[in-house]
Order: sequence, then C-alpha cells, then structure tokens
Amino acid sequence: MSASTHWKVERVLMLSMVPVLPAALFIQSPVIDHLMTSVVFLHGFWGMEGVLTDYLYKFAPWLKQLWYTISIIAFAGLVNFNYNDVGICKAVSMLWSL
Amino acid sequence: MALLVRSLGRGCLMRHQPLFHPRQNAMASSAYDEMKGYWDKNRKLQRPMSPFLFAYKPHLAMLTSLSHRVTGVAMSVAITGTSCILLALPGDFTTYFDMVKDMSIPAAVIIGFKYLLAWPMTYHYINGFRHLAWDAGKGYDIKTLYKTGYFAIATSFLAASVFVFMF
Repeated sequence: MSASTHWKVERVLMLSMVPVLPAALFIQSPVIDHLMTSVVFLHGFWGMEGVLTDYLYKFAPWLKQLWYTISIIAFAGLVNFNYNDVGICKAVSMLWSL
Repeated sequence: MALLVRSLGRGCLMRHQPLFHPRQNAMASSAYDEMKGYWDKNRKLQRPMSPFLFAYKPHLAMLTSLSHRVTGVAMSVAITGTSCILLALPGDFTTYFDMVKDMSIPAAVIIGFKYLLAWPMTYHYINGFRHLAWDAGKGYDIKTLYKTGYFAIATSFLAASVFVFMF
C-alpha cells in the first residue's frame, strides 16, 4: 500500500470512529463490541506506529518487531474478551457502576 | 547557426562544470548519511540540541498537539497492556471485578480513576475533530486555531465530568 493510500485509509477509519464510539454508549451488543475493539485497536496501532516512527525506530529498529508482536497478542486478547468474556461495552459499564 | 548555438551552449556548460562537480559528489550520499554526519558533528562539538525546545514560549497549539499525542499513546498502551494481562490471567473479568468491588474503595478515589479514564477519551475525541478539519485543509487561521483549541479543552473537561457524575 502506498503511503498516500494508507493515509486515506487512516482518515476513513477515524471518520468511522466518530459515530461508533457514541453508539457504544447506548447499544450493548456483540456487534458493537467487535466493531469498537477493531476500530479502536487499529487506530491505536497505527497511531503508535506513527509515534514510534517519529521518535524511536531510528534508534532501535527492533522495537518494530516487538510492537507488532505485542499488538497481535493484544488484538487476540480483545477478540477473546468479546467472545468468551463479558465484552468490552459490558466491562466498561461494570467498571462505571463502582 | 545551430552549430554556433550548440557550441556556445557547450562552452557555457563546460565553464560551469568545475562549479557543479564538487557539489554533485557531496550529494552522492543519501540524505540519511548527511543527517548522521550532522548529528555526529553536533555531538563531537557538544553543541546544544537544535531546535532548542525550551527557547520557545509555550503556546496553546503546542499544548493541544502534545496532549493529543500523549493521551493517544497513553490510551493505546493502556488498552494493549490490559488486553495482554487479561489474556494471561487465569480468571475471568467478573472474578477480578468482584475482587475490586469487595475492596470498597473510597468514592473520591473512584471519581479520580473515572476522570483518569474518561478525560483522555473525551479530549482525544473532541480534539480529533480539529485534526480531521486540518487534514481537510480547514481551520489553520490563528484566530480559529485558538478558538477551537480553548473549545476542545473546555468541552473535554465538561464531557468527562458528565461521564463521571451522570453515567
């Protein structure tokens, strides 16, 4: 993927997050759970990638492998949490009930 | 005539060549090598870092930009870390939630933690609209920049308070 296409994909993702995040406040369903974790994770992953490229990759290129490995595990964890546990929206509303 | 022009042109080029040659040789290395040489020289001469960040008077655009990155990185690290930890832990979420609930943490601490979770989210969400506008080429005018900046900070705290106390 060329850099400009990647940039456009990122903007489309951000625009899609604008309605998805408020929707998660009012709708609790597995679809919203998976949508939430996917868009938030992807946005965070690419955001961190940008920050690491700006400040750290030039000093420690091996951080890229580390960040990708951690991200894959984290995404697996989020999907697992939505499938086999209470799901992200329910978890946040439980925390908020404290 | 053509021959005359061509020979004159060649003469001009020939005359300039000694001037161009050394520069072309210097540019043969990649930009990254050039930068590396620059940093090596700076380190050797013990020059101060340039741009010297503390020479600038802090201003609003600096603050909002930096806090956008900091809140984004913090949330990304928090989500990634929490997900990895929950995947590694043997119990399920409800078990740990009940454990925390049984600790009967004072309300003030709970409120503090809720702000810690809610404010980065509201700030990044609201300030994100400014970044989307800039990406669309709008809102660069200094007056607008300051107005939207103060608006983002104020509404982010307001929205965070709504989440902490009304949800």
